[in-house]
Amino acid sequence: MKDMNDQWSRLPEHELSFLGDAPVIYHCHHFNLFLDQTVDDALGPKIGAELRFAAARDASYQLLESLMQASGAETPAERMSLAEGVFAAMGHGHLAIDVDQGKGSARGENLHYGRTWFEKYGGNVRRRTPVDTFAAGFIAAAAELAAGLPRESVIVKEDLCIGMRASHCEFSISRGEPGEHLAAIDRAATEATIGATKPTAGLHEPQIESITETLRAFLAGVRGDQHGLIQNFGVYITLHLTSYYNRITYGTISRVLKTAPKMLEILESLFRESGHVCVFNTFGGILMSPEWEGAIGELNPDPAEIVAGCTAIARALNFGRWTIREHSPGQRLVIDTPTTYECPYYLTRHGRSDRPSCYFLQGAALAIMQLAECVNWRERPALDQEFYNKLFRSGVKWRVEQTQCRTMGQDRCEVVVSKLKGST
Amino acid sequence: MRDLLWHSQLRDESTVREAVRVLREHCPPRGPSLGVEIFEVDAEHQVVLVPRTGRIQIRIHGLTPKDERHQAAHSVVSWLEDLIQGRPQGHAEEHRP
Repeated sequence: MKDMNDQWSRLPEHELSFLGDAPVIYHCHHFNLFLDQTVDDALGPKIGAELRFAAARDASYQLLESLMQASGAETPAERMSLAEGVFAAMGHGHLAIDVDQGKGSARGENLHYGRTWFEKYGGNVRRRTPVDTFAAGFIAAAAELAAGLPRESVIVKEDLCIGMRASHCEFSISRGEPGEHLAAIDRAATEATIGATKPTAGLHEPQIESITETLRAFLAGVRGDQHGLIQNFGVYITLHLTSYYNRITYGTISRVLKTAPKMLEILESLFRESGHVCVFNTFGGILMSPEWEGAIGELNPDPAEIVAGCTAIARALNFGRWTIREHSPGQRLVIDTPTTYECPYYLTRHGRSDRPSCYFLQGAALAIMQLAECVNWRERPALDQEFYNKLFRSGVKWRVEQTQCRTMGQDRCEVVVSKLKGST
Repeated sequence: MRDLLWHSQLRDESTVREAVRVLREHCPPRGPSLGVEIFEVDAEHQVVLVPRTGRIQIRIHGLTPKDERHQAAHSVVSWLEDLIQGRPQGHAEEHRP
């Protein structure tokens, strides 16, 4: 595959993108680590890792199968080379996979999850379990496709992990029993769930479209560096598979509903918090970046400008066509979208829901309001954990409610952020 | 990511023009850029310059060990100051304190 851009396609009016036939988005290492940790906290490290591995293998197969077909990669060597190249280009680090008929080993250098976990927590926490379950699932899918083995039939275990203070990562690859094969989440499935719904213009639309276009053009050229990492806006970025995020999120919800339904509310709040983590680190980093200043202009700290800027960032990162319906600074924010990156997955694999399901959108909308109202942008604050805790872990004066959700049969997803009663 | 981003500000337009000129002369440009000029310094650190405002950001590569990041940033800044002021040039790493 000469250029990953050849395999890129979009549903432009919905701000969704696909690499090959797999829906993809950009997310930073803070979000990636937080989401994985939330799953493990809810299910425990063993079952959590099993779910994350299954999700990674499933989503990666969808991606790699379509890329291999499109590029004409036929031999095992061609297919493995493509897989390693795509993994690095997406910012996940370097893999060297040595496998024959589903048995072998792999070596990882600077893998995104392990490297960034160690960067973020390694100085204070000694980790007891490997971090790079996404890489393990990716390797398994590549091994299946290279040898033409049944889907979901290769098992990969991480034996050495940089997150556990090893110098690099090592994986062992073996054959297992074919696992459950779920419905494909591809472009056709995504389009089918959206149907004929068309987006309509909201507030600040020309400004949002212009910023989105600029950011999208920039992101189109972003690829992993010589280490297979993407370092930008003060974070490590990955191009990632929405099916991975969605399967681990809704898989965890489903299991908790069966085993510990009283925990659901807490779990949902943590999945919402993943939106806070993303908006604070990535959106905040983009807003304060030299690139923003150079291409968009010096950051205007007016809340309306911050909200419009964040909406454009969400679109450019392929989160969906987020649209501002109402914004009363200091009081209320309403964002809607014909679909989120969460809905196509939920509808395809879970069907209708009796509750709103777009946790990321919910958390992100609240976080946008918090950034717009409670950050002194002129001071260019450091977006560190201390500032995050100050902004989001005490005294948040907003509540968020998802008032419409496509998974509940409505024609769009809508979230309302409003001021908590009694807050000043 | 601690101690990887460092900020500075060039004081006027002529300094900005001079900085762009000498950086283009001495460093490989690094794309893609979005309203900024990005230059690679030594191994993998970057100097990012916003021509229209004079803002400079020094980006220390994330694989730099944590206890070497301050020193790396200091070296890049010293090297850049020398470059702009026309003093004899070495590599940024030779400016270690």
